[in-house]
Amino acid sequence: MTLLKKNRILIFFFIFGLLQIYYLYSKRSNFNFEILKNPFKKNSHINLVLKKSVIESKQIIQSYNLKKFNLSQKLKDKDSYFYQRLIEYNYPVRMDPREGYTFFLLEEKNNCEDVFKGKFIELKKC
Amino acid sequence: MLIELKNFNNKITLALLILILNNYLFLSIGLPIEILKINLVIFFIVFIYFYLKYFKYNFPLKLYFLLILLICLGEPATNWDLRSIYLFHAKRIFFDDSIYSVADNYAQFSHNDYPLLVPAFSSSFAFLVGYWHEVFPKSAFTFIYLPPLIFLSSYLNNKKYIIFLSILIFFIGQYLFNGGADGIVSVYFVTCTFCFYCIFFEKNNKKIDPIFYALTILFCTSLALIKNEGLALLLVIFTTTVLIKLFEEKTVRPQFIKKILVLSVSFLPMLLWKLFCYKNNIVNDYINSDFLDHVLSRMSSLENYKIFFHYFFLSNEKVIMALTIFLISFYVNFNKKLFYYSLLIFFSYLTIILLIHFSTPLNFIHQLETSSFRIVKTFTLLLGFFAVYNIKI
Repeated sequence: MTLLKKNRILIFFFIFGLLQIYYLYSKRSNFNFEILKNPFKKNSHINLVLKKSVIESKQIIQSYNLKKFNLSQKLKDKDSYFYQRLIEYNYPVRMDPREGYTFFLLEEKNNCEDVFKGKFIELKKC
Repeated sequence: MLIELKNFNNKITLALLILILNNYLFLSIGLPIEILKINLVIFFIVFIYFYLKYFKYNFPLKLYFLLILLICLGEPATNWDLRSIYLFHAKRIFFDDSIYSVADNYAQFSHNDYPLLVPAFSSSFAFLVGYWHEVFPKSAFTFIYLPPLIFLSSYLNNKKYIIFLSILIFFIGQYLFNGGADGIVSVYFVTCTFCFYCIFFEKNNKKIDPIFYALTILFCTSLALIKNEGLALLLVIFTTTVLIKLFEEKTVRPQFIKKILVLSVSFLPMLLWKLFCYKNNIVNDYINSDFLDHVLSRMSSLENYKIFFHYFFLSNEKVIMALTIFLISFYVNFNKKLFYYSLLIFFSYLTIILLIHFSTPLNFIHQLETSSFRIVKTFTLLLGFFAVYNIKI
């Protein structure tokens, strides 16, 4: 009992720290046990982070073995978050404004030659 | 605390810091990637050694850190800063085998002028497993918290240390595992501020030995290389220390100049990085030709100060809490030197932040909305740490 009284600050703050970590885990994190089970699996969680259109762009790039790609003006302007994800996720394949292979949104009208039409995004040669 | 334990902590901190900085150094001078992998393996060995030797000692830190690491390894990389800046830089280092590839200024949104200490450390995690992966390299951002936390445990008694850890978790929060560099900056800043206080102002100078100096230089070097803000913070610490000393002693002692010059070595890696950026025309968003125009035009309006005050103090309850804890601590036990030192550091940094926000080429309010909640972590942790360090329990 004396030991408990003597160390009450230690015990209180120790528990307080643990409770805070529990709060961070349950309310302030996107913790997913599936990721923890396999933290080294390539792209095991990417669908939790990125839009399907961004993931699809990489699949198209890989299947056509592209070294560079371009984006339509609409894709560049659509929203900066989408644009940045497309750039960083596809690296080391780079976006080059001089490149002919260009990604378009499905609803976009243009005069370029069709290469591949995906579910969310399409590749054309301009 | 036992001298043996203190020495152990300092040696572990020194080893971990050197091993973190090595990643940046090896990549800077173009050493083979194999050496980077060996370096990281040694880092993990030292980390395990810290856990197993004196297992019961520093138990709260060991337990908390392990839990936070587990959260980190089970969380995807979603943070904007992390994906667009730090992890993207790490990815570039991994694919290009170099920290200098940013010279092409590709993807300017990623702030290519930012120093690359943390991305270099993070990329070594990917080098070790042999392929790019987002979760494992992200954990580097959590591992980097460890050296300053081990170091500080030597200078606070058990009760103060556990309070400090609670305050740290409270103020830094999710940044401990989501890869936000602002939490790292805050912890390194507080550690550097504490080291300077011990070296230049503490009466009982027994804690200062050559290892302490070496650690201070390494902490300062790391602080400047985490992000640009770190350089500003380091300048704040140096100038505040020099000004207080000048005011206090009215003269400059050779011993003081010698110490300051030795510690100034820590600016060198960051200055070299800035020189590299300058040569390759990699510019900073804030430092532009309109810098002075923006500052002068915004300075003249009282409304801008009100908005700034609102975002940094009123809209964030943690700042109010940190200030309250700080004032209560010094009301109960008034240590004049510590009080003025920490408060001057606080106000100096606040002034710099004000100037930086006034200089932004973006919308002033938008800039505050997107950055104030991150920057206040530095303030709150500084006030919280010195409040705990000051109390007598």
